[in-house]
Amino acid sequence: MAPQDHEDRIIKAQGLGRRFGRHEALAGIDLQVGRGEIFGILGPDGAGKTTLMQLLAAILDPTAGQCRVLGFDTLRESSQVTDRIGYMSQGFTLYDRLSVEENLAFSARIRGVSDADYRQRRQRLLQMAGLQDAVNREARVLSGGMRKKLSLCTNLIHEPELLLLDELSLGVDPVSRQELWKMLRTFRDSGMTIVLTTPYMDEAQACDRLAFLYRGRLLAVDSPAALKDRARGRVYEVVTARLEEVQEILAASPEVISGQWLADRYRFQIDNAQGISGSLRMKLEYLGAPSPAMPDLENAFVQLTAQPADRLATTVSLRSAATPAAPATAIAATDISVRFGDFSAVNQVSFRIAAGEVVGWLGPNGAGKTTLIRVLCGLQRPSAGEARIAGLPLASSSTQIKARIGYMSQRFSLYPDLSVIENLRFFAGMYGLSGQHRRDAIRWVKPLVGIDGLDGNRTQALSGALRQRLALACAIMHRPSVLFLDEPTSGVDPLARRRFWQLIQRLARSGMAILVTTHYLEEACYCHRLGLMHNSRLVALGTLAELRSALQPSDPGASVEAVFMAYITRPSAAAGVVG
Amino acid sequence: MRLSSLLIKELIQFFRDRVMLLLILWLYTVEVVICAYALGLDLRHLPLAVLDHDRSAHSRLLVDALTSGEAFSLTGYPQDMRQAERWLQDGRTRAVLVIPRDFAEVLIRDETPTLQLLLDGSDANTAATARNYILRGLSSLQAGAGPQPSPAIRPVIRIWYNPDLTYTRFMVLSMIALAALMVGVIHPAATIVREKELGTLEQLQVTPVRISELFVAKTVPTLVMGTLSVFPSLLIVRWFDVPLRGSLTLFVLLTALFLLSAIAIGVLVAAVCRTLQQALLLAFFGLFPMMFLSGTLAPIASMPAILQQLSLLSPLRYYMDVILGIFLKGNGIADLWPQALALAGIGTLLFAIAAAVFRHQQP
Repeated sequence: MAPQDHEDRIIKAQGLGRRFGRHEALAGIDLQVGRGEIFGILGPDGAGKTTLMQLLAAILDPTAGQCRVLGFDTLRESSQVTDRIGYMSQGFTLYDRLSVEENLAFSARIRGVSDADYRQRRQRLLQMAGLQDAVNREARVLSGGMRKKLSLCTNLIHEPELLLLDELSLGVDPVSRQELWKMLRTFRDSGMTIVLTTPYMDEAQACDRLAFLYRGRLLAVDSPAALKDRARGRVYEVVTARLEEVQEILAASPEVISGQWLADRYRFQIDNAQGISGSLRMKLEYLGAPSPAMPDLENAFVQLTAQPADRLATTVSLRSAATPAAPATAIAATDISVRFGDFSAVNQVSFRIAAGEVVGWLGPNGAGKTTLIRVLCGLQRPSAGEARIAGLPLASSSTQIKARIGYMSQRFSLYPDLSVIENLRFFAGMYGLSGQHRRDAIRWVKPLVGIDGLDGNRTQALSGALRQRLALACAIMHRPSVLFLDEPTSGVDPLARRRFWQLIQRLARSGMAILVTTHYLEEACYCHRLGLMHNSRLVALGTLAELRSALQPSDPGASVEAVFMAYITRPSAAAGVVG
Repeated sequence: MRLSSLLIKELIQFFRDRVMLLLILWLYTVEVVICAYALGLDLRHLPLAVLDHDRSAHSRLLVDALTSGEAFSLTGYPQDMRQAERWLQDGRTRAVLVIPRDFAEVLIRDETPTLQLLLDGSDANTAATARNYILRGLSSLQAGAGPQPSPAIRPVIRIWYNPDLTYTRFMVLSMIALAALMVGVIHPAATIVREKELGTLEQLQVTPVRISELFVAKTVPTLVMGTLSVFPSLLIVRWFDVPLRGSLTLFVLLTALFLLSAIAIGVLVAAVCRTLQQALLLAFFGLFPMMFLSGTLAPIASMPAILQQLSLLSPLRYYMDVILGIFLKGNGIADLWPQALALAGIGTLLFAIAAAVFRHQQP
């Protein structure tokens, strides 16, 4: 899909850069996007994605280089550019108090769309977005997915030649994500050019071409297939039950640049294309023969960004990670229901989680995942049902339970104005640790999560990945029996996510039960079992293999997304709990 | 252990938040100074022209008496009434004192001379004050005017507690009271709501920490800091020559008692707000009526009856009595016990409500 001739170059950027004060947000961006492409910009939080989008939308002036969009210079002819494009920013661009219809009509009017055009396009857009039954509802009552779709419609009403979408699927569940993508493809096929940013690898996969953005620089621009090809011959996996030992061997091997400790196997990546060294092969052989694996986009990204400091988590404090003897059943929930007035947020959910198990909790927005976790943490009283956490009844011993659970939210709830060590000391104090106990706990946790040597650093100045590890440290210092993680990896780059999961696996090995919610469906592979919530009910619970085989027809090769969609879209009468 | 960790954390955050520290210091000092000067209704350098038809030693004495202080500055002697009016018109002067031809004569006869004062009435307050100043100047002149001191008994107005009748003193003290109120309300509200925004409040709720500990940690530091921040403003008090006639200890103690109510209001504000913006708006929403109702700007006695009743509920009203009483009248607890009791009563009630609401909010 590379641009063929001059007219077809919708975007042409040369040496584009932007600094904010002393901070260089973007530098040396050379980019060309052709007509009718879906072009993805992939990168972790803080890579400069939004800045790049604002430069392309001509709403931010570059401080270096130049950029032509639709043939116009973004600096000198910015109004020509903004008139011809659609730009959907990360924050919602809707008026909460206006209805769906009013929002759409307003954006048509400010774009100068004629009445006749508006009537005709309105019908088509609302139909595509599945919003035709919601035209009179105020935007603020719409779900996250519906808001995104409406927001997309308001940016399509003037049928722009170029559509810029910043973090299209942020906060959107997989079901709505599929519908959004269907709309994008329809418009792409009619000649529209679409540039979007995303932190999701599986979403990036669906783009025609991709740019990897990392720390303000373009690492690579190519088709997803060609990018993946760059990591060919560098990715291996070992299937074994003794994953802890695999981790130990790999952490000691300098040729390994990254590893994924999955539920039933270990996938790792080496830094040379000649293949795995003989000595590493021999060391692994007795655990399981390493076999070459298909690289994915993450592997390509890792290969371009790997730094010595990001390598595998070391195993120093592994042996001391043992938690107090936990009962074999860490969580036993029976018929938990939560109702808010007429609305049922959680409906008769029952399940058990064993000590040492990592269970992933998936489901669309509003399915009840967060409410369920809040119940189990004692943050929300259930309307009915009961649960035992770490062997204690939830109803009567919530204070004792709180001493035995850890909770980490997606917001990495830390005090930004305190230093790393002050945060650690404070949260240790909250769990009643003092004096020698507190010093021991901090000395134990720092190397475990990898935050040595940062004591005096102010938390607000840390990178997302480091704040993530600090938040985990604060949640496990008291060695809980059960750990709740609410979207713990959002906004963190792939390398940091892998390292984080190694920590989780290691904590699980020490006997901690871990319940984790995530929007990254590919992360389901790290979990021993998966729970799937939909419409406030638990519709499936089991290993990924079990969920696949329970599909009708059963599909052993189905992707997590396919499995997820199959359970979500099938008639609720057929829903049942597996495993 | 949990409580001490919480308190240490609050203290670190308090001293690390430069903006908040600066804001508190500003409220207690610079703001007080600015308001005292800006809102102080004392006359300062009001341009005064004198149309002296008498041109006697007595008339010069009167002009000297008036212009020797800071109240008036002499702009000149117009030739006649027409010129004087023109000066008023074009703003060259704001007041014209017309001294009659028989001024000295009348004064020596020990009668009250008639003076004419032309005032630019567009600023009614200034005009009224200027009138009082001139009357005072005249009466002092009368007192020592005649060749022999007059044997007659004449009424002498003596104002107690604030003999110079400077509005500034009152203003300085009421601004300090307002500063205490603002700090007391806004600091706990801001720190609690900030923890909501950061998600740390939720994080704390999954630890074994007790709600009572959390409540104490959120209120005690403000109480201590709010009380201590009174001291810098004592310097300002000195700067304005406001006497401290009563006991400093009593003042500090009653300030702490007053802060209880303010902090409780802050906690209540935080209970219903999700964002810092909401909290600040709501705090100001409550602060202004409280300020107007408590005699900080206008005397309570001149308010409609219903508002006077309402002001009985405002802790600021009692604190105003306390601060004016201790500084200007030298009142002790023997005089101020009703106010102390009211502050304790309202403070305890509000604090109990705040604690209950705070507890109710947590699962």
